[in-house]
Amino acid sequence: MLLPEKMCKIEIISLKENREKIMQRLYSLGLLHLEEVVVEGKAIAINEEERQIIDMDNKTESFFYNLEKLIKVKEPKRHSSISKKEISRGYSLINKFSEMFRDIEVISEDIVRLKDNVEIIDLLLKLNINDLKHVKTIDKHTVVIGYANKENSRKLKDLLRKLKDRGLIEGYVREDKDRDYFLIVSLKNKDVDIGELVSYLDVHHDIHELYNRFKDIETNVYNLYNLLSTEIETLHRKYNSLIDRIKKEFESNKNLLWNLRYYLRDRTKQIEGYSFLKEKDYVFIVRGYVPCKNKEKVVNSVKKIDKYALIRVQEAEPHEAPVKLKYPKFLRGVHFLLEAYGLPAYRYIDPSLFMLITFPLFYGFILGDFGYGLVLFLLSFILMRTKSNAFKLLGQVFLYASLSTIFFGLLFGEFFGFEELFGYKLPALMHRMEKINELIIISLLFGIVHVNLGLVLGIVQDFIYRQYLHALTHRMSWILLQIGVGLIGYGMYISSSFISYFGGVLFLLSVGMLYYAERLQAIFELPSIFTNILSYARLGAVGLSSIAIAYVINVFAEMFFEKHVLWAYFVGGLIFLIGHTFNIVLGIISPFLHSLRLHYVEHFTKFYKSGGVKFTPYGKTE
Amino acid sequence: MVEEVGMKALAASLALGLSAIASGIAEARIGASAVAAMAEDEKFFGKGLLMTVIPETLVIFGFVIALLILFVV
Repeated sequence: MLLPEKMCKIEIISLKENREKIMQRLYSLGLLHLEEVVVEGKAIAINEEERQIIDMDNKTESFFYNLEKLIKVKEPKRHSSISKKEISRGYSLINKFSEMFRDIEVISEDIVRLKDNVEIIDLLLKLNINDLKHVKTIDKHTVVIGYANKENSRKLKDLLRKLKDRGLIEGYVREDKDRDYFLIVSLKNKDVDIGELVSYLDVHHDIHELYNRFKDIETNVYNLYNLLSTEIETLHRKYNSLIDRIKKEFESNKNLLWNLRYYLRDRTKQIEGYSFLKEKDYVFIVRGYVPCKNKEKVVNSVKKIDKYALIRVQEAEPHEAPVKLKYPKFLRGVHFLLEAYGLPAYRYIDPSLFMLITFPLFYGFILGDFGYGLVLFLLSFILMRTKSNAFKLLGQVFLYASLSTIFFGLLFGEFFGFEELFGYKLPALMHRMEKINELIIISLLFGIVHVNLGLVLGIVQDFIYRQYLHALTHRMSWILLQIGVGLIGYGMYISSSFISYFGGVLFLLSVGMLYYAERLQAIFELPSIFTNILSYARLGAVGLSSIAIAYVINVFAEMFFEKHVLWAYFVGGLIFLIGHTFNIVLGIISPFLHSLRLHYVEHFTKFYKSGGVKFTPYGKTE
Repeated sequence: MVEEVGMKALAASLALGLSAIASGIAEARIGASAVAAMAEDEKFFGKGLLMTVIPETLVIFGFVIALLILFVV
């Protein structure tokens, strides 16, 4: 659980004709994390059948995407395999659906265009233009029609007047109650900034498209309006009938289409894996990583297809292999926090087990309130019942944190910030507001343990790689430095020069080791270990601020309650409710961030090596 | 005596308040950059959060100093 699973590097060389069979087998095994083969050779060229699969997969995905916009599509829980005959029927169905959706798209565009035209006609009628011939010289002009609100209309009219006086533009205006309608005409070769004029209009249209379509028809604008409305109705009918057909056909072929979707997804993923391979002369090469415990399975599977295949297996080097972490379900939430920082590098320590203890411990110590703990407990269950995976994992973290908060709440004797309930002081091992110094000292003790746990984990890591000197100079030296300074201080406190001198020797020894390891940089960084520990004072400090806020809310609310008037009870209750909701929100976010920070900055920097690549086996979807 | 208590309270509040302002300024700048980085790639969340909370240590030191002024000095 402390180290990622051991990986083996595997390289398979086999004849080209076995490529599909071997890759299919590896895909169904789902044990190999593919790595791109970087040798001289050709990339794999996919054949016609494979190209068709990718093409059909795109079409099928786009069909389901469009379908989901029309109806609620429920994914079946199970899916079965699909025969060749069914695949070919599925292909023709998907092609048919693609054409139908293409038709729907064309119809939708037509409807939008016609509705635009209807709006233009409406505007023409508002301007009392009943015949398109009134704008017959349109080819040579820019003609814009639209309306503006009264304020913009005034500005536009001023501008139009100026341009009209200079002979640059013609403008027709009809004033109405709430808005004014405009028709702006300008010669195309005249230098007029139509954009500025249009910016004053709330709605505007270019009428060229409408004019070009109907200029040769002998009809008035009223008739055009009716003509277009009928056309829109016909298109709507066509649109609805197409949608009905799609829904009906999908319902009657639902199972086949889902099975086809899964089949195509699978096959496409398999084909995508070919991009990692290389071909050379008569052979192809595939390379990747497999958990060492499964290496025999992979080798035997390939040998069954080609007993002459060349297979080379060796233990993966640190840093290069993908990371597959082994952790039980109860660690998933904590692991989520770890992944937010970065996966551990291959064969480096995974500290999630320690985080399972320290994260809720710090969280609970900061919040430390029985009432807030209960709220958090409820919240964690709500989060765990949501559909989002991230929320579920966060819910698990909050569950542990809430238990710790309840525990410390009992220890500190706090309930929604109250240390007293109905005149009785809540029993407590330690009331935080009364023992501020002790609280900070306990926080610093947590710091000493946590920072040194990081250094010890670093030593363990160095021992795994047999880097004994590194363990001594980069980790042990920091521990010695703390002991040395501690002994100097203690010796001075009890006036024992022997202890002080001994501490001094340890201090000098550690400084020497650090100088050997990191030269001058280490000397400048000497105080960092103490600032790291001091940083844990936040465990007490943030908790105190939470109590102070709760205390202020309670005092404020009590001021109203003491008036013994109905409205005062109401205001007091409101202050109590809003105030504590605010404090709970702060109480949830703040300890979360501070605990996380103590892990990321003070603890992880002592040993943790991130940058691992997640193990994603070919064929398995997680 | 009253003056001494007042001066202590003033000193403690300055230690805490000024360090809080400094933390705020630093966090605002780092936070803005961290959000921009996260908008481009969500993987920066962990590192972004880490960078953002680093200056918070300032206010913790301020708090410790304030406590020392109030209860030890």
